[in-house]
Amino acid sequence: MSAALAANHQAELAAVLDEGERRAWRRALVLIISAIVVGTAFVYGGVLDTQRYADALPTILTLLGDSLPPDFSRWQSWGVPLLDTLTMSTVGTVLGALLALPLGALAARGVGPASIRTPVLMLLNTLRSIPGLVWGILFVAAVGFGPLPGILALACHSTGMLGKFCAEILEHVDPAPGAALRSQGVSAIGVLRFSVWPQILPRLLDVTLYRWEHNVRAATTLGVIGAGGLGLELVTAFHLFEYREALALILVVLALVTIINLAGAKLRARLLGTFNT
Amino acid sequence: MIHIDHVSVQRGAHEVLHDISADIPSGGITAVVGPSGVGKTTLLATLNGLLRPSSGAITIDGVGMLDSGETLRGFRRQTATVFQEHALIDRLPAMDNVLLGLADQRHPLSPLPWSRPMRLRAAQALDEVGLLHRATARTSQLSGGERQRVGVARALVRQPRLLLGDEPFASVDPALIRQLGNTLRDMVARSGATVILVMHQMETALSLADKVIALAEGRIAFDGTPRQFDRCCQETVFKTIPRGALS
Ligand SMILES: Nc1ncnc2c1ncn2[C@@H]1O[C@H](COP(=O)(O)OP(=O)(O)O)[C@@H](O)[C@H]1O
Ligand SMILES: [Mg+2]
Repeated sequence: MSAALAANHQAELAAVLDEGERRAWRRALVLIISAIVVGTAFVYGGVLDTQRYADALPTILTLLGDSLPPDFSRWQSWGVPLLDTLTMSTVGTVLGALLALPLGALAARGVGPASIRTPVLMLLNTLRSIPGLVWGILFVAAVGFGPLPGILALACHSTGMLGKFCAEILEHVDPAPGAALRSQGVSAIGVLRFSVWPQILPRLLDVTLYRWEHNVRAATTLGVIGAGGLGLELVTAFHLFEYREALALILVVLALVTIINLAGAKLRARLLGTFNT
Repeated sequence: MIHIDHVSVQRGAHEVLHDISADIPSGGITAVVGPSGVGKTTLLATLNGLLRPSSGAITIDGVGMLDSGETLRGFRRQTATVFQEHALIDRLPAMDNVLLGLADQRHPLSPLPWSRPMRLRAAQALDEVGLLHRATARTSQLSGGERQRVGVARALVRQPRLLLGDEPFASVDPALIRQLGNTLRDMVARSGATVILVMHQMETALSLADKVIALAEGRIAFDGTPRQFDRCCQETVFKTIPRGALS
């Protein structure tokens, strides 16, 4: 840039630089305030109170000692609970994802009008701020024991979560390929199918698979309130001070989560690898 | 023939094109030149109905382009556009992006994969831009020039009646520009297609085009043959614009 040009724009240049500085300061301030708030929470939560930790390690070690070696002797009676947990998590995830797609679309900026967007966003917020356990208690009361209340509880919470993700993913869709399709006479449905869908599919799949794994763990917890599954076994074992059996059950859940993860990765590679080509 | 009749186009708050009129003959190549930011991309977007004129009209063979949704759809089905920013889907293989050029020729809800004839056409289009060996590469892994050629292939695969190209050769090698220029010439000779190219390499524009339209300050500064442009107007029309600034 020539000196003459720079001289002409002194004031403008200064304004741009000043604005940059103002923004940097504002960011720093936000950072400092956040650090203070989080620090206070550390103190309030007792995380830094060393005395509380004095007995912790020995107790944990004792408990660990009591639960070794894991006791798998009752494995025959775990089949049905295992199946229940798997059913709850899988069906709950799929149901949640199916509901999340249309709701997420309605909640996305730039898709529907604000008069629809706002209530749908509120619905999604409500669905996910009510804890899964509360949904579980509600549905056990409503439809009775077994996997069904677990499925419905997981589906509710998953819809809230996946719907929000889905809306955000849709907001990040690049509109240019869609415009290119419209400019060659492709209908709105065609734009959804050929531009939006391939753009959102990988991320939707990612969050859904992550949610599936989450739901396996959540389904275990739901056993506690009568939705069946491995959770009930686990809590019973604890109540009976059968720590060795409890550890065995925890290992089973761990194995299940690992298998789900591997299956999810395979599924993802399959679906994305063959998509559209 | 495309008839641009007193067309003005708004972009955001301000008017970019002011009261433009021009005729673009069928079966030929028209080059649109002018400095950066003058409204060349805006003009192309108006020609395929992505932007609407604030006043004036565009008629194609006597029919108003925006007369009805059906006429617009009809024109668009015969049109192909190469976008300046490519407008490709990054995560798809190059081949799939080319296939999108045929998306209006299949049912949007059909779960079937692209048919073999369609895939053959897409592969041939990729071959024409010298990218057949990159057919299965993710578009995000291609270079800028390669991505641009994928965009060109997506337009060529349509075998369009009207091809709109927004600086389609901006980052393509000279040898390939000559080859693609011949491809377009062949297309015009074979099927009588109409080609409108926004270009920034003046030499290419003048050697390839049958007609040149130069924009300056949102108006038409020149409208004629390349020879007329070469003889009289490069200096007179553009004397205020340094030659390097033409883009
Ligand atoms: N989406 C937009 N919103 C508002 N103004 C725009 C937009 N796109 C382009 N413009 C403005 O319109 C003018 C013409 O742009 P464009 O048609 O892209 O020019 P060219 O293709 O000739 O370089 C420019 O001043 C540009 O800043
Ligand atoms: Mg442009």
